[in-house]
Amino acid sequence: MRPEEEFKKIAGDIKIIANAAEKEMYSHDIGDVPHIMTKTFFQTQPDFVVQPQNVDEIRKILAFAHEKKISVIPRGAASWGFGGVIPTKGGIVIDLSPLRRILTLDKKNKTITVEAGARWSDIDILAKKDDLCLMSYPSSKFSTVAGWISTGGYGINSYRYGHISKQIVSMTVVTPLGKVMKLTPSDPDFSWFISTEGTCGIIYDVTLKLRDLPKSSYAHIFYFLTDKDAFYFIEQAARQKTAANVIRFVDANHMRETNEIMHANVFKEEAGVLVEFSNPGDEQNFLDLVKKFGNYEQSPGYAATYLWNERLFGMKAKRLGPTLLASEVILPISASAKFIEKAKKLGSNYGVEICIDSYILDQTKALIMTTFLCDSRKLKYYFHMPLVSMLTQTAVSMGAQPYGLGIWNAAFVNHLYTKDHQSQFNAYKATVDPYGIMNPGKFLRVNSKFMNIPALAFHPLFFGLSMRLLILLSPIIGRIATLLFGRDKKVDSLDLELSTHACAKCGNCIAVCPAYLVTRNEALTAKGKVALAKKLIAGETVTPEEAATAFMCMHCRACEEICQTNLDLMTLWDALERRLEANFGRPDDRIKEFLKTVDGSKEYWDMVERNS
Amino acid sequence: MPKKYHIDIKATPLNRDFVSKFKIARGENCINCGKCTKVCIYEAHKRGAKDPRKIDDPHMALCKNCFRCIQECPRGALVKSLDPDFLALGGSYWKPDMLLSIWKQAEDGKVPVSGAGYRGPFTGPGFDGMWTDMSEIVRPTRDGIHGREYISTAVDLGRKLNHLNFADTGSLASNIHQTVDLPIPIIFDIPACKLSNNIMTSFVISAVAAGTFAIMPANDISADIKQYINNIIPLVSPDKITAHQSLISGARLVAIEYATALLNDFGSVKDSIKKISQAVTIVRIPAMTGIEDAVTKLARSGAEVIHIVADYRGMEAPGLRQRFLKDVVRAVHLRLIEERIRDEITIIVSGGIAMAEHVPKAIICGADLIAVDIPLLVALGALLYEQPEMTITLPDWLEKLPAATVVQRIVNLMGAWHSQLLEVMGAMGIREVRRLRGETGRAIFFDEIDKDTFGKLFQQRETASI
Ligand SMILES: Cc1cc2nc3c(=O)[nH]c(=O)nc-3n(C[C@H](O)[C@H](O)[C@H](O)COP(=O)(O)OP(=O)(O)OC[C@H]3O[C@@H](n4cnc5c(N)ncnc54)[C@H](O)[C@@H]3O)c2cc1C
Ligand code: SF4
Ligand code: SF4
Ligand code: SF4
Ligand code: SF4
Repeated sequence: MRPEEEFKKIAGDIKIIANAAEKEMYSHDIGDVPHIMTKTFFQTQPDFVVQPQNVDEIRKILAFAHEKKISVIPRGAASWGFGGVIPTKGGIVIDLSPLRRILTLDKKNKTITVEAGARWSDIDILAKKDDLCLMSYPSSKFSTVAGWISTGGYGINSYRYGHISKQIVSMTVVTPLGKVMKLTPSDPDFSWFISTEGTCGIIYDVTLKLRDLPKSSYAHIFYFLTDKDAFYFIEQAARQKTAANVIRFVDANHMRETNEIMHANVFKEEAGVLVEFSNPGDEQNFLDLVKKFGNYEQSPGYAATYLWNERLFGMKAKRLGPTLLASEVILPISASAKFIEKAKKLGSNYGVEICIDSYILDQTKALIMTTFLCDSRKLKYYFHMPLVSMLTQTAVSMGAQPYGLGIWNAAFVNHLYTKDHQSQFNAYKATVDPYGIMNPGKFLRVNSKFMNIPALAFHPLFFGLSMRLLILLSPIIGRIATLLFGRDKKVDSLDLELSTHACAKCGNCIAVCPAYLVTRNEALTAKGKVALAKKLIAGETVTPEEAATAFMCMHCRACEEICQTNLDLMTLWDALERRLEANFGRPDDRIKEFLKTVDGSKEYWDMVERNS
Repeated sequence: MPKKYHIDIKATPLNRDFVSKFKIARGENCINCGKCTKVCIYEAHKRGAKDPRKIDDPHMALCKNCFRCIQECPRGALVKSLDPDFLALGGSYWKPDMLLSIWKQAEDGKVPVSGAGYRGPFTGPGFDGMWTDMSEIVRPTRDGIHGREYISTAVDLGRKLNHLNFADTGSLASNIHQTVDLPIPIIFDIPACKLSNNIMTSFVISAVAAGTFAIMPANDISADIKQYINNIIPLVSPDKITAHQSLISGARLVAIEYATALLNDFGSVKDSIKKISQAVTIVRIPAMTGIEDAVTKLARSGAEVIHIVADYRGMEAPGLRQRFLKDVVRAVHLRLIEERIRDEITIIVSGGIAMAEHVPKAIICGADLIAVDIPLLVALGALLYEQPEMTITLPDWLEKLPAATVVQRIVNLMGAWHSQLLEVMGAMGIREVRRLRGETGRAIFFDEIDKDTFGKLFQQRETASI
């Protein structure tokens, strides 16, 4: 008997997704990794997907998986691009994205308790009504709470409020052995659920600290002729432990891209440092402080405000790609400028333009995101992908830590955790997950098909060696590739086909989609429909069921409003529906049924009200 | 006590676009959430017939301007604005609001409640320059409407005597003149624009239903309309009396067009009518300079009823000065009182009667009853424009309306006006509309009070209220 049939017998109310088309969505994350690297090496298609709605259902699923020794892959908004949610040998994907209720807000103690799948954006909107707000949050604000806790945990306001683990009052976790634990930071188990990428158990709920809502936001951009000057400034400023919420570095290329996206010259195409404060007092103190360092040029206020407001749309540049690749590391501030210099040289060998965006984490460390645009539709992409690892390799050899492991960074594990820490982790994991069913094949160890031979590529020893070799040879390989394939031109305007490629699969749209809220079906969200459009355009077969699903849409524009890459989604829906209607007809009865369900849903009306 | 006047009101909404004061427009930021379709109890908002996922444009004919949808829309996507068509309507006298209010009264026969209908300014030209004394407003005035308190709106037309002259023998010496009773002080004037025979017929039937009369040029009275002669006032010129003999013979009231010759010769005209029928005679005279003299003269020569006709904005014919209806009526009324013959004659006024409250106001100024014209057509969907010249356009769907609907709408309008009359009288503590006539002491005339004190005060409040 197939596992999903067996599970169905005990599933009760748990929603199960087992049809191939829908399962397909659960076989990847935001990364544009060619099938050759995923499907060939790993069994990325899950056996089935479940959407539990409470702790008991999670326990039930884990108990089943434990008994059958089937892998379990926790999944939030799937906005993390390192392969964390990609199955490596099938198994059960536990989709926690619909488990997103905000349970209680304690105004007096300024805390909020939410389910694992709650979106940072929803929490902030709700808290604001009580004059409270989040301390820190990822720039992927539409991702899930547990997703960020399980991964990097650094983002906006981390300079001021520290790592997300510092803001957790408690959290409830469920282990494969069926243990439900309410953990506080002082519990020894606590740290094994922070940034461990879903390998120790499932986070069910979290109680977070909130802060008072600031009246306003005060942003400034300082310009510098060189990256080195900028980081020298940052080093001095960060050391003073100022009251800035954010200190962020963006390089000249990033500024240029922002200008290009806006079709306007708002920013000087120089290195910039963005700082942001909650009140004029803090702002003034900082301005007084930097006066002592020197006289720096500042952007106009509106430009600073714009860049600040765009912080949630870090992948907008994908419009120019349509593919955006990234390497993320945590580096000493003092080494950052040097790293950027090397990264840019490496990039130029491959004919790409390196962009840097960096959040300062504390007095000494910077989270550095190195990105470049390319085109996954082209052959050259196979030369561009390893460039990501080369960039990370360059950083770690300068003292950096990789910002998460997943599958694609697993080879850098020794730069993140000491051997000692790794064996402590393995010992703990053996106690909570003796059969190793939790998110296997990544993090500390990659497994693959074919007796694990391909996975050797990700073995730290082998990987590090080959990367170093590649970097060494990059002036030659890169130039040859550029010669052979030419440089990629930036995309100026997006047609339908390009739009489908420019979609970052970030899942912003899922968080706000009322149709998803009610149906819990990712296929009818913008992300799902863009994928469907891509299929249609590529001439792949589309089932009548997939076609009908695409019509379950309120045409509410919510997806378009928050789309990471600013896609013209409403136009896309009209075009898509026209095409589907011509081929399959219009599912009028289902639309009616759908509208009835939406109308009768309390959650739907809560969402409508919340966003009013 | 005369029998209680009852008017049969029945909601007759046409659900058609007359004009709407406001346009509710759905903005680009609408999220098709459907909340407006739930909060609007009038179903002005609906999901699309073709694609139910999208909300249709609001059906403004159904909208009652409660603005609930605007308040409740989670996106603030609905915006109301004054409809440009609405603003183009009417003119300086016939405010678009008045026309809309008339239309609404014809729909349901209800007295407009504040907020939904016309809210008059504190002071202004025309009838807005006077306020009725509502000192007794504290009483539950709507009692009048529901008949708990008996208020009579009945009037009679015809010559009344100052006093009865008794002969020494004790028998009545004076002739008792013929009079006609009306349950409401309103008659229908000649339609303000040409109507088809069908509509004309319905028009007359509605006069029957409202228990009143319709004035019609004798030439326009077709054979099938003639059967309603009991409620028709044929209008004839003095030299055509014999020509219209058969009409006049059946009529209870007959109207004679004014000609200067009449001033000296009314007796002979009346005689020629008398030969044909017992009908009470009305002299229809345009409002003009010197009207007081003309009316006095006519009364002295035996006229029973005089109908003073102002233009559609209530103005008298251009002359030395041009007065508004209320001033014309007051002048005539006062003159007749001075001459001690006020009760010998019935005064009908018309022109510029646009709202229910104009009826009691005209009566307070000294009229016995009023004739109404334009509002009857507005009840049927007519649009009036004062600029560039006065035009009335009838809707093209009017011909397709069932006769019963046409009748009911006019009846509804009269019902609403009757209710409002009761309300005003109730508030003033007056039980009989006959007693309201000339009660100028119960009204404030703004052009007469100290402009420097009250005038400013009211002016200010007026602007503040806009
Ligand atoms: C535009 C954009 C901006 C971003 N900005 C930031 C940033 O500022 N800082 C940052 O750190 N990251 C950032 N990221 C990366 C990513 O968004 C974060 O790691 C994110 O918070 C992951 O949340 P998610 O809900 O998408 O988790 P997923 O991607 O669904 O899952 C991430 C990992 O967590 C595990 N997991 C998910 N839910 C649970 C659970 N309930 N219990 C146990 N394990 C679980 C999964 O198995 C997986 O390994 C960004 C991504 C995008 C697309
Ligand atoms: S459609 Fe836009 S918001 Fe949705 S996944 Fe794609 S890029 Fe993100
Ligand atoms: S427009 Fe459709 S796909 Fe987009 S958020 Fe609304 S319901 Fe979802
Ligand atoms: S309530 Fe507002 S947002 Fe919702 S459907 Fe109506 S107009 Fe659109
Ligand atoms: S204003 Fe009132 S009546 Fe008009 S559409 Fe809105 S809710 Fe309906």
